[in-house]
Amino acid sequence: MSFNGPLDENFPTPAAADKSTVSYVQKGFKISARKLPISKSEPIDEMSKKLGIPIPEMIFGDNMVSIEHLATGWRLEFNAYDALDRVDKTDKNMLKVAYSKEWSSSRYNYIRFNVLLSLIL
Amino acid sequence: MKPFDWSYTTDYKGTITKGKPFELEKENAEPIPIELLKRPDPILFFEEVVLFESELDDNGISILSCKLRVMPDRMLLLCRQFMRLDDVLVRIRDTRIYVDFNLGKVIRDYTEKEDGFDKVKKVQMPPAYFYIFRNPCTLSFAIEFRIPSQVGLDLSSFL
Repeated sequence: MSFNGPLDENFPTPAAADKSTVSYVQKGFKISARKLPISKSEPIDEMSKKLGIPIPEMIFGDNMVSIEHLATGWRLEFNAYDALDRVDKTDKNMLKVAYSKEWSSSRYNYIRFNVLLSLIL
Repeated sequence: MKPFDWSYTTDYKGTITKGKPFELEKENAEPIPIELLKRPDPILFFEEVVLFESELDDNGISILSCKLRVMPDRMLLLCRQFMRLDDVLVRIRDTRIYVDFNLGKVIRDYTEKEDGFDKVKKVQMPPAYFYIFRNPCTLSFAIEFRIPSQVGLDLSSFL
């Protein structure tokens, strides 16, 4: 139930994507930004499958910013999919062993802290 | 599950969807003119867009977001990844795109910063601790360039 008619649950449709894009033209350059809600489970699954890695909890798959040079059509864009495609999908650049050791000890402390806390409360 | 970098660290510098790529200029490489960006020019257009965010299973944060501001003669876009693994390390990866509208010139600058969590913590005053660790803009000044600053030298000119 909503005051302004039914919610548009099916977006982003191309029209919704257009509607959510704000642009500004300055001296031959068009600068745009698109802000849409967090991706739904279907596009997330699809993205995860294509990328071959699990997707971060909050993924704005339809968001982007871009700079376009109107005379030549040159266009630079920033989007989540391409950024995640640059995340290492092997164990080559995993955080170093020293770090992970520190991490496991901090994790241990964290658990210990929570146990203490639950005893106090 | 296959291993992957679960901190979602990325060296993403943007996607060119049309036109020529940036070229690495070894000579006459121009840095982004910081002084011109410090001038109090009117800001005609400003946007901030988040691309993804993860809390790393409650062990920190990894966020990628873009901010841009357009002024009469130039613009700056910052795409920043901020990654904090609690009690371990802090990492910032910045891609800056500078456009000089009058010269039709685009400069891309990419920087990696990284330091141990304890070191960054020491630099800061304890009372502001929590605030600072949630705010990459403040934190950026506290982080050492452990990985040497890779000042991007890519330039592409339209004229």
